[in-house]
Amino acid sequence: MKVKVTEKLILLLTVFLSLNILPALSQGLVVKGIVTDNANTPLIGVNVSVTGSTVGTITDIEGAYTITVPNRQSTLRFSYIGFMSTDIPVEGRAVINVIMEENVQDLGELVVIGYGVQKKSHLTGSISQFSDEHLGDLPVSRLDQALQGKIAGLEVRNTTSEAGFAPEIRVRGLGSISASNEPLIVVDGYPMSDGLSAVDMNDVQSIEILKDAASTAIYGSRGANGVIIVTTKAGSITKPKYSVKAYSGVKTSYRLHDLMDANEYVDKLIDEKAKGGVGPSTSELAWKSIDNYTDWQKEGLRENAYINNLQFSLSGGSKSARYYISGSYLSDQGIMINSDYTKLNMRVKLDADLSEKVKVGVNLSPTYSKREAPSANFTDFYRTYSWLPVRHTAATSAITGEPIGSYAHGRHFNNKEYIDADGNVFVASPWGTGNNNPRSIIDNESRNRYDYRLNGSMYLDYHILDNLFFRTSNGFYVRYEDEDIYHKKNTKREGDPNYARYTNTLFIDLLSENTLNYSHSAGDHHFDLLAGYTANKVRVSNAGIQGTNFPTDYIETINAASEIAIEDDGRRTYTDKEEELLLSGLSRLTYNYQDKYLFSGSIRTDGSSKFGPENQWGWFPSLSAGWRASEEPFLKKIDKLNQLRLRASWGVTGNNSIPNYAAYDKLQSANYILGDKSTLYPGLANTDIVLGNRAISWEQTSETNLGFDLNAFNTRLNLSVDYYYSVTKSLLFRQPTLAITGYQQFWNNIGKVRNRGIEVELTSYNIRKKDFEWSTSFNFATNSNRLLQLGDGEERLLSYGERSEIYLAKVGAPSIQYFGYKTDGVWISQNEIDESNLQVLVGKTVRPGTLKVIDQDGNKIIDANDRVALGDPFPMFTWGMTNNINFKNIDLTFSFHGVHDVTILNGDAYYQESKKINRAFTENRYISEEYPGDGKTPHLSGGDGMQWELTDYVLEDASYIALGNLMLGYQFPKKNLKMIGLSNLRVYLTAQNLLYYWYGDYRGINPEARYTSGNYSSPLVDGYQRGSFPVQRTFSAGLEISF
Amino acid sequence: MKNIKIILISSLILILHSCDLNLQPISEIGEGSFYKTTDEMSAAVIACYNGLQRPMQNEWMLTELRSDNSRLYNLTTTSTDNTLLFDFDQASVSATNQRVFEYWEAVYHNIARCNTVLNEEYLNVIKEEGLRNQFEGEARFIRAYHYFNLVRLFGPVFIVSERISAQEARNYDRSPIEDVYEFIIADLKSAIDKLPSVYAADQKGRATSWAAKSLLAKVYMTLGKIDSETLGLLEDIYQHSGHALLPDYSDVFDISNEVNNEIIFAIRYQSGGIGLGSPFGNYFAPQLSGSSVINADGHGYNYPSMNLVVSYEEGDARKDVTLAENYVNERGQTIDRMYVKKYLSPVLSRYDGDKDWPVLRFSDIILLYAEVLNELEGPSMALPYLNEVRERANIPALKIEDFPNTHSMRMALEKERRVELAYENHRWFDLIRTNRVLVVLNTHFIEEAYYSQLPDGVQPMTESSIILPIPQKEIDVNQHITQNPGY
Repeated sequence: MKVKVTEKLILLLTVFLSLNILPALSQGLVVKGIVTDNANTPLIGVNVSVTGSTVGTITDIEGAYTITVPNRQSTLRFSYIGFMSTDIPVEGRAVINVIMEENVQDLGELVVIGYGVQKKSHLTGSISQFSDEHLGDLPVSRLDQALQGKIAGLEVRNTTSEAGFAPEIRVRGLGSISASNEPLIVVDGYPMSDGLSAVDMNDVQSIEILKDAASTAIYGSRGANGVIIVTTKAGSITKPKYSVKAYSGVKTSYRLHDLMDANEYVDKLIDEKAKGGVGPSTSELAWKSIDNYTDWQKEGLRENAYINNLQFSLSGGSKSARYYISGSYLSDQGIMINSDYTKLNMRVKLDADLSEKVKVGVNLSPTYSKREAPSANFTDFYRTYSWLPVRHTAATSAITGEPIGSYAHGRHFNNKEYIDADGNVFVASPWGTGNNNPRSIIDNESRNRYDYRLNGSMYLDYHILDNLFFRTSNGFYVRYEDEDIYHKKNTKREGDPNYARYTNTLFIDLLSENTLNYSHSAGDHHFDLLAGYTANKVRVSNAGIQGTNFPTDYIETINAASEIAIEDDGRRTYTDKEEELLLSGLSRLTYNYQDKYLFSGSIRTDGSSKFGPENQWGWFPSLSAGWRASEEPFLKKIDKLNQLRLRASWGVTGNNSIPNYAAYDKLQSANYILGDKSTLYPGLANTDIVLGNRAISWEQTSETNLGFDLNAFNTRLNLSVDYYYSVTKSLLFRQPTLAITGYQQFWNNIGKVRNRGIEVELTSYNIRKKDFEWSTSFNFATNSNRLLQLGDGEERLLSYGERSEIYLAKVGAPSIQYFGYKTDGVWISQNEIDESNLQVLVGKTVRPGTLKVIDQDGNKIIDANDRVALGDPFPMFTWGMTNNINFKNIDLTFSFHGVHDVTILNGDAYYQESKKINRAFTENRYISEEYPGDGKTPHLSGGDGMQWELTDYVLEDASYIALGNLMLGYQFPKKNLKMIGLSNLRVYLTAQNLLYYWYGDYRGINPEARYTSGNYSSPLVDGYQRGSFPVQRTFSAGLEISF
Repeated sequence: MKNIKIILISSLILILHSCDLNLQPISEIGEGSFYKTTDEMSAAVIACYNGLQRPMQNEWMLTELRSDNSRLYNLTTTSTDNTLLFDFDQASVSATNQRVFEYWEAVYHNIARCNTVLNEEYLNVIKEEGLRNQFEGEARFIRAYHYFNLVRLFGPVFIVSERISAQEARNYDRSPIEDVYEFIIADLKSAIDKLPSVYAADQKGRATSWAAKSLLAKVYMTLGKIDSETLGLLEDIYQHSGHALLPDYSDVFDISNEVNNEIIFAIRYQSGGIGLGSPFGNYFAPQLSGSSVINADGHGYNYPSMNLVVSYEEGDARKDVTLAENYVNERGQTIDRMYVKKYLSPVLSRYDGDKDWPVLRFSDIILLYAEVLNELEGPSMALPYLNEVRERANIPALKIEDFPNTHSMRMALEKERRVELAYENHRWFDLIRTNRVLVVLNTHFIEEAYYSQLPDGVQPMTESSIILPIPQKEIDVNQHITQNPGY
């Protein structure tokens, strides 16, 4: 909107100027023409002037101009905001049509900031802007995925390859230890927690990432994790423009685990036995006599998964009303079976000028999405041995007596007779688990989630004076989620009862924002003042119904259940409701002197219902300053320097991302039965594990940011460098309490975390010719995280993962460190063990081939005191690089990104099956003293020695570099298109993750994957991988048509 | 234009006035606004009974699995459950064992619920004195029951007698064992005074004064207080409580016959998807048994030791009620795998069984009575009571000639208690009460074939491992807490 205002101002200005000079025109040559952009759209209001004179005019709504030039040798200068000025000699022509090239590096560019816009050249905070006209062409289903590797300091991690799942996003590291670390997402001024999944990428005009506290302080209590502002496209004054875009893509797995089949493994064991190793057990010998080979990884994956997208948009407008209407359809299959995502999006954006003073607009965006999720983890697939078929074959049926074609499960093979190579018959139980095979689990449990979203907002601008206007913006965001799970009888194991689960969430968010904007210039002084208040009310209702014991699996709705369970195996029937209210007042003053010295200060106050009655209100100030050094006379002389700006900022932001009602101890039902008839009596108690705290309040981050922006060599080189230092104090911390209180944790404001880092963004226009353009953008970021304080003088906090592996939060070190035993290869011989004279009090019996734990304190006793910090899950640095090349009608874009020195904990090492058949864990392993392997890989522990997960043996360097995106497009020549009535036609090919390279000692298949649920939902437990689905590689082809 | 202004201004006023930041929970009640009426206090007391269930999830691991009654059935699967249980089975539990912490936390959680009821101000909202006394007595009984288990398992523990905040908890220290027992005895004596001796049929299952007396008698026995007071207490229960042995052992555990006359106090479970089901049917049924033993498969926990199985005499009616040595699978094959049957009842959904868990049973009292009589007056006085229990189990009465001395009667009673009360979490406590745990278990580790088959064998149990470690998590929070010796 703001862009339009500025454009119109300029338009008016130029009209005014041309009126002044009109009388000067009297005679000469009349030149006519049409000015368009390279999409053949007429440009309105282009300034056309004769060089060296005061003669000029502007183009009309058709892009047409008429000008009288003094003579045939005159030169016309065409200039327009956002485009590169061109000088064209008249050379006696009467018609000169001009195609203007967009100026990608326009210094007058605007940047969206909180509650307003600002000239990019006048920014004092740290804000990264991202816009890409081909954003919607990327074959990914979510906007956040498209941002990966694009912005310094914004880390996007696809923790799962499942279709439609949100990646993890961090702006400038980890600031909170119990509250959420997700940034605030604002779509067209509306804060939306799931905004990045709701917006269609084709609708995006630009994305701004507000990184420093001075920029986010205007969002007060929600600004501490950074703010991502998404601005969608709006209509402009043109004839109706139609655009249709479509693409189709195919996804494949980048890499799978390198597994041995059953025969190969047993042969290996036999070979090991000859070398003094353990050799196969009877159950393993049985593997060989089962004549079957199933590649279980492939059973869990699709050979080819498809993604299809179709988008349509219509935009245009007249002077009094403008519109943008779009609709899109996306269907995205995950690489694994039963992972599907379908989305329908619509957006209607209307802006109308009711009068000189009043302007209104609406923005409506309904979306529908359906997501089907697989009910089994990938772990279950790659730990299933190849001798087990999905369904019984003739051969396995003969062994087990199960009918051919029925699902084969490991237990069917227990206590059965097998024949070895010599024809001897023996009884064995090759597999111990009672669980069904994973393919049958996936086939028999369906999980479908439907999301309906409607975001609607309208604004009204009232220009009280020329330089004073009031805006009220009111809207709602309604989300309805509806999930159905049906679990057939015997899904997980024999005798597993069937059940259906229905849950829904109704989320209603009402927002009212009211601001007053005032701007004033007096000589060299320019002021902009913003004041406003906002109110945001959220109401969430959840419901769940658990139906059990269906007489048949044919009907999957709960009406067919024989019982509605209040509680069944932890799944409950319930409804609950929550409310949240946030009231805020905000103001900002921006001032500059001579466009050289820039100052900005803001203050926001927030009152939140989430906190204790005494601590609901908080203040969030910010101050920032900038110096446009290049405007100083002594630098202005330097031709090569287009712009140099130095920035410094400081601000305080908050985090309120904790559950509602954390201030209270709540009572939930705790019933009991009494009497000979077993009658239910109602009871109530605080059944939670977390104690409330009436004093609970904000978490506060204060951050200082220093930076500069340099634009040089005729705007060819653009460099921004930022250094930040932030300290988050009064951390919202679910602090462990002594369980003697009856509870495990309580909410507290305690502790301090520091993040600091450097961010560099560099854009270089390597070649800028008419038919050949090449630009390179590079970004680089480092972050260092330190825990400065924890609890009441506590030095450390241990958190545990699912395998009792430990995550250490220690004062003076990164907030998360892996904590356990450091090892030095494996014990080679009993002799070596005996000579070491170590008394081992932890783990099981030490034997040759088990991990050699280092006696850290040198007391000859291996015990819990020998545990040390083993590394942290934070990357040392991340980077991204994008190249854009335009050669005639061909465009080529390719982006790399990399994450470096990041350590993960490989939970796959826990499984006996992984240890047996995954080459990553078996190659070069210890066999015997004579055949010690590489001296580092332990033998398959049957429960001896130190548990792998408690040592550094499972820590791996998951650094990677990816050619995340490659796009090659061809634009059909305009001339030819015009004949068939099109204004634009482009075809393109893309490849995602064409290369995905990891160079560390990583043994998994997806360096980005992380476990994020259960224990791992705590921000202090991170870096654990298990059961990750493969990285996916996508190829797609698409088409864009405009007319 | 004027209209717009009016609309704007009025909308502002509307928004500002409709906003109150003090939002109270909608689907729950804040504790601060509760405990104001008799009904609300009743709900608080019911919650104390409800809270008895959670510690039971793990109590069998801390008692039966550590004793010679059961062992781990170690399948080749790598489940976390097995690794944690392994330590209990071999009586070498580490301070970081999650199950120990869970038990500790669940017990203290219910102590907090009891302490809420025992808050003077809350109790006084109950105007009717009888009911007020009853509620107070019930909370004291349950609290004493928890502390009794804690002190026996962990030794010196923290005496928390009121609701405390996280900050206050830091000032607490462990109390000597004597002080804990003093606290327990005071609670029980008060409960005996305040509790009714019997409830109406629809209230059965609440703690009675007899339950409090029975628990007090057990406390005395544990303290080695073998004297006339303990004797008198047991005699009183035996003669006047109205409780008696049922003629048939199997009837005691029949789900159609719960809170029967033999049950002095039990932790109640109810199936039907109401969140009060017993998990033990599934816990103890054989693993991989599909639905042949119980719907939704079993875990094979608490696997009976051979040593216990052979302790049942020929024809002992209790054996089949307590355990099974095999099951028939869905294809009619007999699978030789044992399991504890006492808590088995049909379930529709996993962990939703019906069977109550007896805490105090009349046969327990009879045998304790016999024990005191033996010590004070000799085997002949004890014998009739021992035989009363044996005859009900359809096994022959023993004769006085079988008992040349007090010790022989002690051993007979120990064995009888073991088979009579098997898998009711008494064995471990009996062994530590009589100070026989080291002898019995170290013999067991040698004699029970299972342990010698383990690749790493089993280390003999030491004195220090009798008492469990204070959970490491507690020490992580407050490093001034002392750990038990040997951990």
